[in-house]
Amino acid sequence: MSEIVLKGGVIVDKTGERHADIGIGDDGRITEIGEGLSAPKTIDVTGQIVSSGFVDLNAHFSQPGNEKAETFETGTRSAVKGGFTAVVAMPDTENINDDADTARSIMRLGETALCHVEIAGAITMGNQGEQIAPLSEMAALGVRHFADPLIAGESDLLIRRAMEYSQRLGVTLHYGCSGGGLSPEGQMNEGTTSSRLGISGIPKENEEIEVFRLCSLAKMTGARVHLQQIANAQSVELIAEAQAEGAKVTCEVSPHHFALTEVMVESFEARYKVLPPLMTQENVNEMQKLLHEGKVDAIATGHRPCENHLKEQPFQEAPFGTIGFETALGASITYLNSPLSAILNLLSWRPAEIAGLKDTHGGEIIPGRPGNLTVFDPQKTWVVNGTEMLSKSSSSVFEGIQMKGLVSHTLVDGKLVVIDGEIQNNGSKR
Amino acid sequence: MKGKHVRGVSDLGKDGIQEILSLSDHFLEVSSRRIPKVPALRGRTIAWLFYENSTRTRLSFETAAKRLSADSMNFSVSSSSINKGESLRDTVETISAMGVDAIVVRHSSTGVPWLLPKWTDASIINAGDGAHEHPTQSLLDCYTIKKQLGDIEGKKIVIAGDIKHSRVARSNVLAFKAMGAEIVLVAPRTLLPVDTSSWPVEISQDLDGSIADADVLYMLRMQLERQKEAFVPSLREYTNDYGLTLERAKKLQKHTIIMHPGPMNRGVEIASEVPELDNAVVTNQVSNGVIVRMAVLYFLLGSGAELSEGGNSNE
Repeated sequence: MSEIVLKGGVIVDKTGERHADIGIGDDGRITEIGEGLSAPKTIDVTGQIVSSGFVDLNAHFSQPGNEKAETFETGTRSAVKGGFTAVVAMPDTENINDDADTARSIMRLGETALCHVEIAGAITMGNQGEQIAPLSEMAALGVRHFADPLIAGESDLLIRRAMEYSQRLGVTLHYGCSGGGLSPEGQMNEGTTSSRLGISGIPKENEEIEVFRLCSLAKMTGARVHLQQIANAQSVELIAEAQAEGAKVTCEVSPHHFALTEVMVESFEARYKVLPPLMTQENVNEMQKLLHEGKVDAIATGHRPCENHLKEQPFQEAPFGTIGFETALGASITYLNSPLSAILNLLSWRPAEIAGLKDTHGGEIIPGRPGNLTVFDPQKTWVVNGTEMLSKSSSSVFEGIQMKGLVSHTLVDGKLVVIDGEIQNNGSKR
Repeated sequence: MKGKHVRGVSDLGKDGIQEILSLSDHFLEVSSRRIPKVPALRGRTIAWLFYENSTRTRLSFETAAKRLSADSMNFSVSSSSINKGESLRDTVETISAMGVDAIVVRHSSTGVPWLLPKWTDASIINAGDGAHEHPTQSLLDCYTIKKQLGDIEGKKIVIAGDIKHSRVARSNVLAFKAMGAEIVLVAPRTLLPVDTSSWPVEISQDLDGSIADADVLYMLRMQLERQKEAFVPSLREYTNDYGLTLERAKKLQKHTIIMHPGPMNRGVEIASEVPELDNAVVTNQVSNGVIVRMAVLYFLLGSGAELSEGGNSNE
């Protein structure tokens, strides 16, 4: 017996496309798929796409420690509005998730979220890159992801040991690739624009070198490694080579790296200060091509909210970061000349596998599966306005840009948490 | 023409630069009077907002403002709420609420003068932003070259030294180019911007090969910390290859002028004796600085009527 019916939409999943209604039962699972279904609650989704919920492999919630910037509650309000039903929360908070007690308390905080949250632990103590964190103790609590978003000066040897040690735990190690030594003070992409503006640049080789050593070590150790926010097209080629040689390495790209260019920095607005930095038009074109060819595993937002007043500071003094959940779908449809199935593969199906959530997220839409679903209008045009976003931060790198494609409804575990773009008050997951 | 701001050379363009240079001739005359002061900006208020230490540029601006009878408001970093963590926006909104016509700002971060108009209606004058621009320095340099050589157009100007970190070099390239000069930038690769392919300049790593037919040799200050940051192996080696030694100065054409934005590191980028040579115009640059800044303030805040009235009433 269905409680909710999504009526008249086009279901797009791994098996293809079909016109059908979807019924969801009170156990939160899909009950039936077919024509003419009815239920106490019916949502008309005529002309819209029904897909499995999006999965973000790289999100920062600032909690615990910096709740002024974001919390699990505010961040996931924004996430579900953007169509995400699961997110992986990075450990570079002020109180770093590097032991079992902290992991336990952060997992409890994660219960205030409106969607599923995978809490990632730190690979090294205090994210200092000197001593491996107690991965096994945290894994025993259910932590399946460990991350080092910056690899702050971490030695090859320490990375090797972490990769070797982590394997018996069946976990994935996520590494950022922006920490290299070529750009200690870099603020933007190095090139014509940085030279003209007199801002220290970060050369693209900085990322390439990190990617190369991480891929070599992943190949050497056989560890499950995921590389975060790859911004440079050549790095994607390096990763594809390593994959072809058998390395268990995957990668993600953030929407602004296939949509926007370093020219934005000419406004001197700190909203365009992100790490990795915005790149050249040539690189953006190349990235779009690589995404189209399927050489990238996932689109991840890298959602990193900064307090608004900090983003009003001069460019060189402001922190790196942009919010990202609510613009991910729109940017993907607007800037990628790829079929919808390819975009959903990058936003949902493949990241669900990488996140270890394929039993509950992504994949096929069939009776019996949990109702983690997103409904969106791929033709709807809208203009990004950060102050309307649900994150505590309104600093979006996409501010003022017109996009095509907007999420209307989101279901988490069969509950309607977003209807017509509005968060439902009873939307809390638990 | 009349601009609202002088944040970068592009706020002026060739016409604006020329207008300021001809206004400067008038203020040169004012400055030579027994009482070098006119009431041209009486009742106007200018705020100094210096986030970076500056003595010469600030004094030059303050002198210019006094000679124009403008009131000024000083917001220096060491003694104000800036040190207590007040944000740039709050500071600017506060100054603005007190009523100012112009804000002269210096900041270590690129682009700050372009952010300010969001928070104030005052005219913005850039007194240096990061390694980006320093337009009034370029204007005084243009004025100095014009006074010394008659014209800027067609002159070969060699700018040598730490181009990479220099806002003076960036503004000067734009201003000298707008005025029709031929520009050569000379530095070791480590002290050049990474990508100058779109700059209207010739690049050289060889000072000796570049200066023989120069009309202007513009030496930049070499920050002593650059050695520690591995941009050069040692200052001695830098001086050997890129310093203006007395021998090099003697090889210049007779009419070639030697310029430096100050403060100089004597013995590093410029030999101790060189500023004393007849063709070194470093002190002319300083006195022209006051005159040109009078012209800039007047260009933004004054009106033609005030200029002629002010000129008469003081005589």
